Amino acid sequence: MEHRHPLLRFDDVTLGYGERPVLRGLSFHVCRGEFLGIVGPNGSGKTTILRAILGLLRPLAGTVTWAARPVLGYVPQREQIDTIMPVTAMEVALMGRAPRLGPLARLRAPDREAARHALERVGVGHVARRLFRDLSGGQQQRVLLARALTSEPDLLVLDEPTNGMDLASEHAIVELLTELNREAGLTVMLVTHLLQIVLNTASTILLIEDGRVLYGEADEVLQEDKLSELYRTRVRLGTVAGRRTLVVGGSSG
Amino acid sequence: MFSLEFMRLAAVAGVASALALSVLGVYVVLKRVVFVGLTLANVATLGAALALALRLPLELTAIVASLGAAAALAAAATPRRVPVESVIGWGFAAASAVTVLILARTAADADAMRLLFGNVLAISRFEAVLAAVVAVVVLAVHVAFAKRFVLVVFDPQTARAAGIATGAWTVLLYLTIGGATAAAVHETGALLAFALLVLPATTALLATRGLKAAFLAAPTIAVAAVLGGLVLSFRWDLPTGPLTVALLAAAVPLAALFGRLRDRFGRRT
Repeated sequence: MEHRHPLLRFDDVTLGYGERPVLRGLSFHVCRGEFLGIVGPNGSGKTTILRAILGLLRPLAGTVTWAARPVLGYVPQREQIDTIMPVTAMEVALMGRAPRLGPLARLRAPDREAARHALERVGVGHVARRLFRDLSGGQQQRVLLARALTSEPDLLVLDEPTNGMDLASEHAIVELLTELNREAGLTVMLVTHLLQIVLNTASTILLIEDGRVLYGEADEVLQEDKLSELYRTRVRLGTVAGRRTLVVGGSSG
Repeated sequence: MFSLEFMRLAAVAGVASALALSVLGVYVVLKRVVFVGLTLANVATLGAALALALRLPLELTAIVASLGAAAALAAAATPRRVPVESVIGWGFAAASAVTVLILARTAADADAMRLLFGNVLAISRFEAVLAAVVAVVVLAVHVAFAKRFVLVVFDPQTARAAGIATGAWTVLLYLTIGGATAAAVHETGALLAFALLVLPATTALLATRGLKAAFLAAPTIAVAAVLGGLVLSFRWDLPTGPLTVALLAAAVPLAALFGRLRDRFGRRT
């Protein structure tokens, strides 16, 4: 992991609100082209890390260093969006251009082309003219992903992108992110409470459980003894159809 | 009837206020902060009452009071134990009570009535010009920065993550609401100013199916109601402000019905 120059580095960082620390001694880094999965249960501090990455929260101690301030493509939880505003999928995707353009600039043909291309790339080009609020949860999530891609980001940061989705939609989103990472070389940071989501996609994993942190390359972290110790229950890993699977508890053998 | 100067001045001030407030109203309704408009209208009235008591310039004091309250509401951190609406409600109640107490001690009944309920038919040339200038400034700001305002209202956290100063844009949004409300309150009264802020936007959002359409429909509805209110109140000898509010209020259920029928028809085709 050290052979490439990190895009983002957390060194012995303590994060919290006011004077109250939520996470202490956090160290990890993200290199270009990497897929980092940040995994932990609700309340473990994932969102706190995310806020620090987005520059919305200053560390109480330690340093957060960017190699160069990259363009961040942020994909929030879709529940965070108030869908009362009657904007079309195309208009949402075009919002991704706003930070690049400056407050007074007009949208031009290349901006519309970038938004159209992003919507098509994530598979929702056919709903570009429909209202965002009228789309299914999966389609809304894809539109938010398209908005992030429209900004032509160096780093894609996703917060629980598969929340509330059925199995097929969840799989489709994860496959899409894998493709963006492996084929387009996009750096991805995905925050989720489900380890299964990043089991076959992440190149590095940061696991948080009850204030304890396990971080490293996926092959290093995804070991039965380490996971069992972290989660304080028996965790077993296997392979089905060439893909990693995970079983918690159950009888031995 | 528009050959009469007071009708022409009323039309200029009414249309200017209608244009500015109805466009701002789309954001106010979508941000779910309609009572911000009511509170700012009452703070503007409080400013005017203070001006009357202390012999200060009326319009200027009302605008300064409203802008101050707008900036305070935009910048105020959300309280942890009560919803932000309770702070807005506190502002409304306090401003209303203090206004009435000041007017009870200092103003003649006619002055007090005009401040509290407005009279669009009794405005001066200066007041009409002021309303027009404020409307031009507010609309220019909102046409120039429409993309920023839409992004900040739609998804403030993503906007912040993209490096956009959402706090400053929210303050600017509230300042334009405060300025437009204060400019309108003196001519129209708090009730019509509040109605122009909330009802055309509500009607437009119910009747149309897109943000651009809502931004075009809201000022059209507001201007039609203001001109309709002026003409009908002149013909029927009724108070202009309440009649205009009644027209605006009647449009809301009609728009809701139209929106439902259009959605049903749209789904079948």
